[in-house]
Amino acid sequence: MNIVETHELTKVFQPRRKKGAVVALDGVSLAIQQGEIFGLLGPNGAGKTTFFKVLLGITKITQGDVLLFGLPPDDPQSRQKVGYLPESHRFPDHLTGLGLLEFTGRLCGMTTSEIDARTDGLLELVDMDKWANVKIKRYSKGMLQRIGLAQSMISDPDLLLLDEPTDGIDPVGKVEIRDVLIRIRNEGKTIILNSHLLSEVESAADRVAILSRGKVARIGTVDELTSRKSQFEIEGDFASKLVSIPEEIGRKLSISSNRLIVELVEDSKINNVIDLLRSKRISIRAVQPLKVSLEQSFIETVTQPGEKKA
Amino acid sequence: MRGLIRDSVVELFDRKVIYVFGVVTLIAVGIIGLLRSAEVRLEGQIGMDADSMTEMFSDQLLSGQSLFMSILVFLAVMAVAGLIPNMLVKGRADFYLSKPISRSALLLRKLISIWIVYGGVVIACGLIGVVAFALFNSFFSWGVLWIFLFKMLGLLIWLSIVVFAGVLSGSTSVSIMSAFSVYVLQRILEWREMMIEFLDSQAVTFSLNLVYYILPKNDELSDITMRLVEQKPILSWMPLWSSILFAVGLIYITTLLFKHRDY
Repeated sequence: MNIVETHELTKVFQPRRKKGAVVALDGVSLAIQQGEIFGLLGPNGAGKTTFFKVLLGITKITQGDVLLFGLPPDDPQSRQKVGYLPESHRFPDHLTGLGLLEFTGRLCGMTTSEIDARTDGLLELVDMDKWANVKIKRYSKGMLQRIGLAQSMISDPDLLLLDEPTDGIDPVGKVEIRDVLIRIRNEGKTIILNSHLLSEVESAADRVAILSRGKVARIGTVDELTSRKSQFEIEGDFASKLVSIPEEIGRKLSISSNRLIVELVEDSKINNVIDLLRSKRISIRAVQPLKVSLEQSFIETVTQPGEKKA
Repeated sequence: MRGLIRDSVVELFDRKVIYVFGVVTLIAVGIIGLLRSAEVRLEGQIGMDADSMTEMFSDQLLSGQSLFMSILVFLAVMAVAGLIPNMLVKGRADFYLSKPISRSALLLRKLISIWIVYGGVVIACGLIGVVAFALFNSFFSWGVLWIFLFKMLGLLIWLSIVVFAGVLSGSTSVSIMSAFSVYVLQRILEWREMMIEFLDSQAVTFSLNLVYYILPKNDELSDITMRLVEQKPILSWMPLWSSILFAVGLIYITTLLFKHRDY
């Protein structure tokens, strides 16, 4: 079941002086399923936060369609099962952490007993139980993120939209939050994670979309995004062996005494390469698709030809 | 609604606004006490008893109560001018607007909760004034209920202006300046008939009349209040219904504006 569906979603910010319209989202079509952690990657200004705001009806759509739980964003019911942690949030700072959770619960239409049943567990989950009665204005950046995460979960939402959830959190806290997210996903909830931290997305997300200049540049599982198309790494004993790959199979990219990298015309041709190597009595220890880091894949995706790599 | 009311109460204390109301009320009580001692001295000089004195000055005492409550309403308007712009700053607007509540409902509930909480403070301080009048001057009139009712209406009218300006501009300063501008315009329009006569232009007459009928008429509402208090006949109800229409219309426009904005 698709929790979020967008079709040719476009958002153009029209400045008051008519000049210099900014295309924040340009024909974004996505379908996000129940029970997955979906990572949204992109450089600054790629449209990640705008995507969240459009889903929630905070920003109006210029063109295209959006459905959240099958409802358009103008319908408040579409947000009934959604928890949101905004980027650069500024929660009402006259409230305490506990007060924020209660207030959020009220805004979500929860009763006092429902709120009471959730607050203690959530405060403990984000390790904020000791600070629950301290005013938010006294919180550090990390504490604000933690309480922000708790408020996003107060109504036990089926979909969590998290915009830079680990921003300002120490490395231990980041691991804790990642574990919390995985636990929530295992409960069948859906999480859309917007982050600059590629390692965070790589370790938690089931699928990733890379946004660049308002468009979906690539989408797939982390494995798919980090695999080089039809490139394989073969480990074996190549010392003093002449290896040449016929053109109809592919080409040799590099070779050393124990490692051969080939690019094939199609994935299935790997069997031909293996046969070829075996016929030359080369001992093969491992064959695997060539992988790059998500960071490398991301940089290649968002950097246009001729542009300097970040 | 309960959540927003509670939030407004917490905010009222956190911003220490409540203390300003407290200080102003204390000053008012002090002045009421001083008036009493002046009255006692006057009693001795002109040889009237206290009850006759109070009866003679009852209208003035009620006007004093009305003035005190007008000051409280003014303080409340200044205090609430920043609440909507504050709610709509980047990062906080996202928090409110991401909740399963329509924008119109959110804005109306926020406005009503501000009105209830700050209006409640105005009434509470006003009641202290009434009690002080009763204790110091042995004076009480049920007519004060009209004053309370009309001051609450006045607060709602001013709220509609600051909320509109707050949504439109997102600025506290603009909200305060808008309320002040409307106040100044009201004052200028008190001279409307004289200006029409002096300028003798159809365009000026039309414009002045148009602005006059559109804008709320707080001074004339005060006159209606005092006439009701003193049980005198009301010359015209127009200032009342046109002011209510202004507030309702402006709130409606504000919700439309809020509904279609990007945050």
